[in-house]
Amino acid sequence: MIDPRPMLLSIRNVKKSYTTAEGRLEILRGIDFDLDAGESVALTGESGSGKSTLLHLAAGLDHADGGEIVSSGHALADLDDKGRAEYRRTSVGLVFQQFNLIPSLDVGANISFHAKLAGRYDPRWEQELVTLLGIKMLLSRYPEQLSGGQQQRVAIGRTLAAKPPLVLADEPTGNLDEATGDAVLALMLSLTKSAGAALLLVTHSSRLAAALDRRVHLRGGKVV
Amino acid sequence: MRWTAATALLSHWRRHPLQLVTLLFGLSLATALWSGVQAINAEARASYARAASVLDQNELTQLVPRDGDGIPQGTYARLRRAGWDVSPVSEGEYRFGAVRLRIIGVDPLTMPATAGGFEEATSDLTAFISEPGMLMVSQATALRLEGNTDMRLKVSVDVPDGAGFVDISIADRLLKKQGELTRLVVAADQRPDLPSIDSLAPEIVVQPPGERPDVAQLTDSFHLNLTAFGFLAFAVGLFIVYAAIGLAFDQRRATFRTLRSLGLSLSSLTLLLITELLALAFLAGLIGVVMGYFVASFLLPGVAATLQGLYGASVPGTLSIRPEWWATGLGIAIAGTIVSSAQGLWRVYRMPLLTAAQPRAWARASANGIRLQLLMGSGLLLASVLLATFGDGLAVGFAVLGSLLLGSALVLPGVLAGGLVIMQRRSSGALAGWFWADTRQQLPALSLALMALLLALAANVGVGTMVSSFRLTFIGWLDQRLAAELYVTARNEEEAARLRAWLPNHSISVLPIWSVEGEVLGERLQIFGAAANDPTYRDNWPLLSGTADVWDRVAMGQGALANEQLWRRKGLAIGNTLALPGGWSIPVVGVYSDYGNPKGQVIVGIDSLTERYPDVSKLRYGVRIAPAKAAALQESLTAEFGLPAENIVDQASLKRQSRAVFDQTFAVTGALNVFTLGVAGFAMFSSLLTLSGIRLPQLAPVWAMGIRRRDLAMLEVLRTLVLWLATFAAAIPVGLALAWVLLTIVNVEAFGWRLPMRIFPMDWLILGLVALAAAILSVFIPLRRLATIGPAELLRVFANER
Repeated sequence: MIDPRPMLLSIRNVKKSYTTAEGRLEILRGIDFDLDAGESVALTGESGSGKSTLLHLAAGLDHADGGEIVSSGHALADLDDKGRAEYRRTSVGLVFQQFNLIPSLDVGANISFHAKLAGRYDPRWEQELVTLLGIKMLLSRYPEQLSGGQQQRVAIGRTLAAKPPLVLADEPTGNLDEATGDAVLALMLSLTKSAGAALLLVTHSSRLAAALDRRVHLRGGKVV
Repeated sequence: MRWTAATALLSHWRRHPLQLVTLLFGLSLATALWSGVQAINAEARASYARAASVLDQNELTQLVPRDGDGIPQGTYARLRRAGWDVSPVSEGEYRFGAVRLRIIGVDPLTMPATAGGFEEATSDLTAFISEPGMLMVSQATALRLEGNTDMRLKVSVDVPDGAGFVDISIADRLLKKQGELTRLVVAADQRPDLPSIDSLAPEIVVQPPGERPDVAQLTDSFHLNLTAFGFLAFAVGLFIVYAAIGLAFDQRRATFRTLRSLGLSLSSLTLLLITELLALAFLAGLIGVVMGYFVASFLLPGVAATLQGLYGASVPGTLSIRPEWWATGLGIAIAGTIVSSAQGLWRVYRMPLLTAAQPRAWARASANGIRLQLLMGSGLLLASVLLATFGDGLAVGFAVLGSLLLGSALVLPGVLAGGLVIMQRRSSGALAGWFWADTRQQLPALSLALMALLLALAANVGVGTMVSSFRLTFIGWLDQRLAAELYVTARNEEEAARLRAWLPNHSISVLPIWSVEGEVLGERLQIFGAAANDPTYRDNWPLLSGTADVWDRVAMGQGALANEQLWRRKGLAIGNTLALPGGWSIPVVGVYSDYGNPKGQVIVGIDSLTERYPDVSKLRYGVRIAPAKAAALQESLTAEFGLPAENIVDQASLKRQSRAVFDQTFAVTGALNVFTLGVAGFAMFSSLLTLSGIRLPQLAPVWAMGIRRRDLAMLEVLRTLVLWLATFAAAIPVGLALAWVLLTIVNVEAFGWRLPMRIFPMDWLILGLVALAAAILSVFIPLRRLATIGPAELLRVFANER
């Protein structure tokens, strides 16, 4: 049987290590992993297992020491700094645990920021997102005036407004209480689905991971 | 407990050495500029006091004429016969060839021993009192006098430059006083049963000892100017200190909370912080005073030249170390630190134990603070306008300057924030919108540095405009005033008589430059005679105001001209009567500008001058001749009279010399301008460096969304340039307002003359380029840091387990 969904992200034998005060620390020891378009995958594992590192490599934020990452048809190792910047602008959306909103811009400007950078600003889509996220009343506020849950909704809105084919989320509910976290995750899942985007979500929580299509578990820098 | 807590607090500086260097350097620099300027002032004032003590014997009581004329010898004899121990002094200006000297004739036999400075005279009494006489002068004056006098020269370290002591009989002969005395010095110990001076000599008055020397009063405004500049530089330096201390306090708020929760009392914590600050202030103060010594040594020769050029005040070009500098330097460093840290200490003192330990978000615009600043600044600007409109006097002038500068500095962040909001609203692109919004967010952190920059740039524009306006006016005035092609000085009256006979046959006209010294309206000044019938005066002498027939009336001896200084100081009006020495009353018919001269001056017709004062020295002449023939006449004069080169000066050389004196006069202002700009540049650098360390969380999300580090770095440069440019643009109107205050209020009060204001856009361009270079320098290190930052460091911003 042929899978109708084309492959969006392909990770082959990816390795990554860092030099620390104690010596060289191998984080990823040869990861193999695929993600299809529109699919949602939970990346789980203990602290230090390399989840965030793998996410950063897939986002083009960092370079792998070895192996190959192909995302939306781009072999990331072949891209120069300019190419990686363009890849981040147009092909991925990032959601972080710390929200990382832009403090100098109000909520409205934060949401449209990435979409405008990517050249995909769609006011109607943004309006819809804002309504679905329940943040219509917050558009003129600044990030410092929002609660954690509100900030994360804005971060999700910012990511999805740019209509990226791949959403990478690094423990997006880690800073939220359980109820808020569940609500935010449910929203994120439904919105990425309706946007047709794939989702790779890093989480510690097996309960949250169960809500996604598939789960990939890392241990000691390998997929187990 | 306290020691452990102190170790924890001090560990901050080990982790942030650059912050420590910034703090120490900022405070040292501020102290250096302040104490350097104070050292110069102290040196100059000590020099005036020394000169006054030796030249005027101002530590002793003096008897001076009541009406400004001299004291007859009979009065002196009457006082001596009555038992008063008084000593006569006869003084005045005398020309030895081209060298003009203040001659002080004293009687070494009756001069009180406490007057000082005459040990050399009394050691060689015979030579001092007998012909041809002995002249006691400084080493420098002795060198200048060589070949210009037959008198024996004796060098004395106590005598200031430009003055000389001679025996009173010789002074009487040289100055043609005919026995008239200038003043009488009263010995400190007198017999108790003496009749009162009032009853013996009602024509004289008693001047108590310790009166401030004239030159000290004349130069007060100059020293006040210098102090104001020193204070401005100190204030600019304090901005650096305030920023560094504020940052150190904010970054340690978590430590403060931890220490308090571990049981350190609030008073102990505050005490530890005060001790730490005082230790830092003491260290920076020591460095600052040493640096201040070098600043003062560097500036003093320029200041000495300025004082000589503007006031004729003699100040040695070398600096002696005084213990009071150390005390005042350390004091100002400590006071500055306390002022800069008061707000931070207050916050610590008021901080509740359970307050959030998050460092203050530098990036978060403190809108309320900016609004309050805007309000205060506007109030100060309004106050400066009201003071300038309704106020009067030098103190008001400086109050206008102070409120103008401080008000503008306070208003700046609010104005910039408003401009940035407009730019953000007008920009359509996401990146452009973020750029303006982010720039606005950096404003609170940069506002102190920008305010310091505004002050430095405005001072540069203002003082530069004042100096350049002065220069242009002065040169134009000089071109008119120095109309004669040659200026000739005879070596003695006999030679002068020969010149008077010879010159008319070899030139178009001869203009005598003769003057006497006398007291007018309570001020000692020069009274010049002018050949007012000669077209030279009518064509070339710029008059500020005067009657229609001004030159005719001067020529007929029916009117006198007053210089601007005398006119303003004494509040004269055309038609007022001047009482000149010798009981001569004459109306004022005109006022002329007389730049570069601090003293009053009067011009009368030459015939009236010689008639009223037949003993006037007739040595100097201006000679009008076709410019092409001037060199030939110079040669003829040398051949015919054997006059040395310095006694025949051509117009071009005289103008060159005058311009050189002028330029030297404002060299010190230029140097202080550069210093202040340097301090402001450093303030900007330290602020940007501090910001670059806390910018990552703001920049990393933008980088993650696809903007390259290189592009972000370029935007950082652009941001710095935009803020510098906006500050520079704001500094121009502030600087022009400053120049207006200097020209129309301060200078009039300080020097006695008012100058037209001119605009010099080219100077602004040069200043702008210098500021641009400083901006690029200030952003270079922070930019390099950002451009070379590794992805790992940026990723740390997103790390969950930070």
